Amino acid sequence: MKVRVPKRGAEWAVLGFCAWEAADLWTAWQHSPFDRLGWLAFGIWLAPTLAAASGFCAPGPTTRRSVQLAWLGLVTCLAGIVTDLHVLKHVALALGCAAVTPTFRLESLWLVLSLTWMPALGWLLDGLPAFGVASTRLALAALAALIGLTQMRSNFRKVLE
Amino acid sequence: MKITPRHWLWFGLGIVVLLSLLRNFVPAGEPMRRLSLLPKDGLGFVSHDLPLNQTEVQVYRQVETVKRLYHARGQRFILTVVDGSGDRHAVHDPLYCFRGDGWQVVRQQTVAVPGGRARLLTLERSGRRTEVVFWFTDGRERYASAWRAWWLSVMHRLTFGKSYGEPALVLLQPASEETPSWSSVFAQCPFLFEI
Repeated sequence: MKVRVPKRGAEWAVLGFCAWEAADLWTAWQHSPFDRLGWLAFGIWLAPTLAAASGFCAPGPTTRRSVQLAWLGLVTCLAGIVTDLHVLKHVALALGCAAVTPTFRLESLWLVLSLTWMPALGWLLDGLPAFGVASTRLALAALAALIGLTQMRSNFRKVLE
Repeated sequence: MKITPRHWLWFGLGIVVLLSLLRNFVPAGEPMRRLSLLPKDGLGFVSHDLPLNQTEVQVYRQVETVKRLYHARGQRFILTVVDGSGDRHAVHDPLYCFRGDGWQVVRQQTVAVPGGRARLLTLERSGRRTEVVFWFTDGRERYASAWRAWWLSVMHRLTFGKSYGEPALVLLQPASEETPSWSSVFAQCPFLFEI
């Protein structure tokens, strides 16, 4: 059975804009001792989005939900631009990713775990050494990816049935 | 043509992109240009500029920065001042950098300085102990809280520089194994509290 994936050009455009605005992440991942391996945590966390984009497990999101998430990301990004707060732009990027990812159970938890690739986690875990923060990042990102992929796979099976 | 929610989303994106471009053209207040007033030498003290390391060059590339080694009547210390006017993110809690550099914070104290408060940190790494002092300043007031600096910086931007000054970070570190007497440094270098 062929699964119909709705076009989401506007959501992808919002994601692109949020990613552009969150470009400081790259500098943080390169230079901040507590943010090293943040790029890897981001790649792992992003696995459900990448899997959906490749058509591996795409049951098709509802238009309403993806547009709502994209709006939320856009407004958060605007708040980040006005206040020049990077953390808001990072949250906007996470919401932008969610907007182009098919919905799945425990999606909210996956979104909360986007903290794993944000510099904000380094501040929250300031009692841990840099190695401890990096390990926590990767472990939680793997958990997020696992949740996303297993739930999306189960959705996909339901669609095929 | 029927207007769908995605058409509205395109419209919203266009508006936000436009606002973001406009924001780049509206400065968040004038830079204070206060670092150029910092004396290099004077009665009882001399100094020379130190080069920034590779990470500092990257992090401070958009801001005005001073890094100097001062000799003040037998006390030697390194002064680093970062003015966040060009990039507020360059001004952050030095604790974060010290921890990232492998230092452990043994003790933190808030100490009174002219015009406000500073934070005195006792740090330890590989059996070596040192003391550093830092504070944030908007030119009128000195404070030790990074959260306060963060909040005032947000307000500075929201009001386009009409309220609050952009915070600058002032950090004093020993220039050698021997930690100077910070109270003597404060007494001998009043210009530190004019930033």
